[in-house]
Amino acid sequence: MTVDDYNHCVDAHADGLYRFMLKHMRDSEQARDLVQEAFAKMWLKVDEVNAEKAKSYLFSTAYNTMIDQLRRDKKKGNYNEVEAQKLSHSNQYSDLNEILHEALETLPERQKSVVLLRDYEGYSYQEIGEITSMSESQVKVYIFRARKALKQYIGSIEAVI
Amino acid sequence: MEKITRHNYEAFFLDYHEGKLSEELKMELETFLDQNPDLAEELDEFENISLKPETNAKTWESLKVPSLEDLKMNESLREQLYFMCAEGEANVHDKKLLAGLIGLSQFRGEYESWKKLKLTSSSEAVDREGLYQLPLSLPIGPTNYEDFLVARTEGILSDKENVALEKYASGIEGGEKELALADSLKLEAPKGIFYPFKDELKKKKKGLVLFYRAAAIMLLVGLSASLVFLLNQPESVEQRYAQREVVETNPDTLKSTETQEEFKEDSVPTEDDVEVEKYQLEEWEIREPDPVFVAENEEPVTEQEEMPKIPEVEEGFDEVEVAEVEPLEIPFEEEPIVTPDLRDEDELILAEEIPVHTTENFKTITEMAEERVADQFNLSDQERDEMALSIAKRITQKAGEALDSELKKEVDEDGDRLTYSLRIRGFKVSHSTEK
Repeated sequence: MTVDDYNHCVDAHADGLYRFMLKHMRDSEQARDLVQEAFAKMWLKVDEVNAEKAKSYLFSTAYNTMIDQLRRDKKKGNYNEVEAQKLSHSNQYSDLNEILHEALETLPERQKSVVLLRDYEGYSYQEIGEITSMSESQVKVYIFRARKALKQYIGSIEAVI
Repeated sequence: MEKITRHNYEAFFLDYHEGKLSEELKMELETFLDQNPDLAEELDEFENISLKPETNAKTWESLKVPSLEDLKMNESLREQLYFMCAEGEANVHDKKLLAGLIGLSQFRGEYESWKKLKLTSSSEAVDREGLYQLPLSLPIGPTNYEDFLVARTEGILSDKENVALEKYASGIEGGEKELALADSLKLEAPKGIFYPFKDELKKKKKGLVLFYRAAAIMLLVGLSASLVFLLNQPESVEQRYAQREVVETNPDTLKSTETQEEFKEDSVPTEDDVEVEKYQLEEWEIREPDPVFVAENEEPVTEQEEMPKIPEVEEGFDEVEVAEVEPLEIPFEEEPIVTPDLRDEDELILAEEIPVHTTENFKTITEMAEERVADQFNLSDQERDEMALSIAKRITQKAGEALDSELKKEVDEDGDRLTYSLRIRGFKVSHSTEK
């Protein structure tokens, strides 16, 4: 991977990675730090990382760092648990996508990650498996469970409306 | 048959332990032990002692580094080795031992059977991947209907499966709505979220970095060389300043210094030269001000020469009449000193209130006087010019007296040339005109 490839990666993937981290961390500063750390790690191995696998490497590195950080925060009690009251939906929704994003917050971290990687970044099951250190079948099941949960969430809204 | 006594009972104890005693001899041994209860305890101890070396003496822990021979002799050790290798806990030495054992035909089968037994009972043998299989291979029904809907969202259903799902959904209540929802259940990335510090993440090319580094190094080397060159100059910076100071205070020394430098260029400096140079430096440090310097600060005393009076104007030249104008006596009124009114608050001054002065409004004193007199006496332009000339002459005369000046008008011997000359103290200007 050359310096040009690396700089191209910054242009191509920094935004996506930042969105992905922001969705998980719910804190822009932490999300920025994670993105910066991921790129810093990639720069250290710039000679080893293949340019074609750079995006996967970035997401994988950032994902693992994020999971570690979430665990640490959870142990410290800083983890911002999504309260049920917070997630009680209002009746004023602009569109389905907005409701889906609200429903996303109710999902466990793993399910959330695989759905985001699938929908935001368009990764295949295999690529998601490489990023999250899961088998393809596991990824598939997590996505299925997540989608069912999203569907149920929307169904419950419709019942309220 | 030999009878059991206190002299030979150990042999019977050993045979008893090894199961070699017949029933008859066992009965006789029991009778003997009843008669000698102290030896019954010895039999128990004998059993403990004799059993220990076989089972517990060579455990894996007790042998820090078991050898192949230990393993050959001890089945327990071998099993422990097999277990560690199967569980992935064996180190390099253990694996070497295992390889050595497997190399022996009598132990190869033992390891294979043990390994087989071990793995089939281990949880590792469970096919976890199989647990994650989705029930999409079965026909669509109430149990896997949801899975098919999600599979439709994921876009992994074949055309045939899609048709089957649609057919099934149309047959149930709200099925079409659920199909529509499945088609739109994907998240869309929010727009307008960008990573703000991309430029900080980007890196410069190594070549460029090397260029900058090389340039920096060259710059440093250049600076160092310049410094070394300056410090090694024969004439130090202090000396340069000293010489410059001497030249500024006494310009006459410039010539002599230059002469010295010229002389030095053609000759080898002697010890005397060095002493002279040193003396000059010391002289600069303690030198008294030069006379020239003093002259600049003190007004020179010069003898006043009695200037001749302005001669009469010869015939043929314009006579200029000098009119005497008495200055107006304006009573001096002392203006009271106004103490500024200090206020705590800032005073607001509007821009319109600030008086505007431009160069067009300014007039010289003579212009003001001229205008004032002309207005007062209603003079014509010609009269006004004459008056202005007389005022100017008067002012010049008064200024001449104040400044120790003199205006002279001279005619040469032939009478063809008239020269006006004006002297103010030591300065003199003159202007000549032909007749």
